Amino acid sequence: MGLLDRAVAGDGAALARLATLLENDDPAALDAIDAQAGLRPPPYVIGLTGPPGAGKSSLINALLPHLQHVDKTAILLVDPSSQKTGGAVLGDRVRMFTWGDDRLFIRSMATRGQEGGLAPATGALIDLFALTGFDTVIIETVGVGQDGIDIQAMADTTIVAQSPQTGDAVQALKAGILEIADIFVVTKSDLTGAQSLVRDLNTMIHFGSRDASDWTPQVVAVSATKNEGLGLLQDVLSRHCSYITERGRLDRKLSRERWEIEKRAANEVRKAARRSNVSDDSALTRRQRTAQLMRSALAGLERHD
Amino acid sequence: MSERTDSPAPIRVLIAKPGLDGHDRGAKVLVRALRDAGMEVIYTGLFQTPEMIATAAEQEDVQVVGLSILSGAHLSLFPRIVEALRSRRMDDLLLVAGGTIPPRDVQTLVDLGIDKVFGPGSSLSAIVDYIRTNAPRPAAEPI
Repeated sequence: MGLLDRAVAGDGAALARLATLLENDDPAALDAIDAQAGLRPPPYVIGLTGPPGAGKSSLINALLPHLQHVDKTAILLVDPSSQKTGGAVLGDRVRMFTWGDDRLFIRSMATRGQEGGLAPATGALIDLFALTGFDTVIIETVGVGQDGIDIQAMADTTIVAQSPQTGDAVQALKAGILEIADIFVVTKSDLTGAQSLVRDLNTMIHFGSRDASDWTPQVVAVSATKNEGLGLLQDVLSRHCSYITERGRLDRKLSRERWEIEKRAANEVRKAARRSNVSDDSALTRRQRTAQLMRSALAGLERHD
Repeated sequence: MSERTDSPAPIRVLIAKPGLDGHDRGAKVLVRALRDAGMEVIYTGLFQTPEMIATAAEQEDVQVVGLSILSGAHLSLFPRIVEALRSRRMDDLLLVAGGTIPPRDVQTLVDLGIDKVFGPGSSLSAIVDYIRTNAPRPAAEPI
């Protein structure tokens, strides 16, 4: 039996190996996933972003027992790769206590040079999880501040986590991640300042412009250590899940693919630039040198076929 | 950045802290050194059971597992970790250990299936070089 058949039959090691191959851009693995990706409905994808230290990993860990109605859940934890060495410390498992639950699959991923807060293979792994019977995928982004909003293209529901004592109402007005939230979670709600952060966020939502039929972003205060607010968060999540409907999830799958292909193209250009350096030929214009780089990226991509 | 090419995939390493150690300073220093050597290092944090370590190694599909232990319980914990890994058919892993392991216990651990023990005073570069040289390349399997 091949890896994919074994993974579909529930073999965790085969699933993990396929994830590695997808992360390593293995053409055979990518094509195999693409050949079958339409066979299963897409999973419900929850994206979680927010600044470093906001409590994203702890929030996932605390939320998991409240998602028990879900049969199988996969969690992708993204951390940054070093620009200099390509190495990465993937440390989000530290806050996950799984106790060997077979219905849970946790995987750490490095960004491998990609900007925007996600790893290059994120979309391919979501398809892999769909094929292997996962109903829900939770993605935790690299801790991002006011930028890094790729998660919106990937997730059906985007949660932005903010902890108190990190800014004021002016921060809340800034564009970027605050605009993409379907749900705001004010983490560490046992700390002082949590209620005023909830108030500031609600004010910002109230003054934002949206159509009457649009989802109104919700604010939920959660304390993972005191186990407070998680039931409410679960309610809001299931309301948003019904709001987006199955049709919306299929649309999202398409937007995920578009996003991934755009990112792949950018990554190929970056790799080409590393492979053969950008031309220093001053007889050529900047535009010509850009075209040269893109031709080299295309040649690199086609060498795989 | 000329040393980076796009083809070789980074070595994936799990650094795990089994049992009841009170701190993990050494493990964190090693995690950092391995990152600086271009590896992707998954760190489990403290208080891991053998079953949690084996689950993490499997899900993360690492080539190397490093066990850091300071509590003196290596002779009781390591056999259970090796067994948990073997029961998941992870036989081609490189398994290294470090921490406060006395020299007289090293042969016992090697017989158990630990590939290399780095006792107190081991240099970071020796550990990094050993892992880089000995990390197995996974065999190609049909998709």
